[in-house]
Amino acid sequence: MKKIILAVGVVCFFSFPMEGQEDLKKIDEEQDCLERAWDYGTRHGRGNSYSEWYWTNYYYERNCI
Amino acid sequence: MKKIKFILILLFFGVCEAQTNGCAIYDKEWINLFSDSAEGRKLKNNDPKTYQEYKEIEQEQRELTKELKYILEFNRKESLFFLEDIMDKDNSPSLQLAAGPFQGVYYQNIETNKNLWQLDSYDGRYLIRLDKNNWKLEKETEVIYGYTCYKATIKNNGEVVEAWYSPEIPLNYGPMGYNGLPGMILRLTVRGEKFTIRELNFLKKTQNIKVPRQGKKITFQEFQQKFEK
Repeated sequence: MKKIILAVGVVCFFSFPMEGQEDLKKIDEEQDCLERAWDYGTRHGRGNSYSEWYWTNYYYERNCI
Repeated sequence: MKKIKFILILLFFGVCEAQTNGCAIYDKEWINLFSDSAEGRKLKNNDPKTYQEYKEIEQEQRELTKELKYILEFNRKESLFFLEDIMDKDNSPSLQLAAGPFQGVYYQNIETNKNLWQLDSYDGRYLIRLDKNNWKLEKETEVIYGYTCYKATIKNNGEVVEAWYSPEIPLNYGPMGYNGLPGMILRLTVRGEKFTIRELNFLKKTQNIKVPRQGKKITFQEFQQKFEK
């Protein structure tokens, strides 16, 4: 029984950091996409605040979700 | 002789009334998109991958826009401008791309001076009161759809709105809430969207206009401020 718990523990020890790294990578990708959406909106909005929001939202829904 | 005069007068007013009711159809094209601009060319040198991505989206935008049809319905005192329903594309990303931010329904009443824009935004429906257009009339002329048109412009925060109107159609209506000129606007360029008349039909009966009533009442400035926060 102890051996089984140890084995599970070892597996957990090595797998959790991996999952954590994947989560971080996913968060980074989402953040990058959000930044790209922001840039797209700013560049296509022609200085109009509503238009900038619209095109940011469009890019985000198209590419980041 | 009196009878003939009476009939002629009736016919004259009949023709006038008939030419105040009808429906115009406009095509739209996108002009001066980001990839064509000086800023776009700068991006092409600094970040070719992003530039290529934008160019592809804009090409798709141009192609999809060819499928759109904008309608201006009008009678003696009111007009309504809107995008024709496209059932299979309703609310799809493609329609959002082609229609752009300033979609919705535009209503004008020349008797009450009402100029409204009904828009469905992320947090609900709005009924936005638009300002009066302060046009500068120019001398340039061009024939559009067989009518002699004159140029008029509005300068707004560095952006120029350009309209071509025809006094041969003495109705002061036009697309996208732009109106108030001494003739119908047959071509309008605003914020990179260029609307050009494709079809004009006058009706003998009164054109019914469905007045937009639903939506949170707000001015255009108040609406803009929501997105500046």
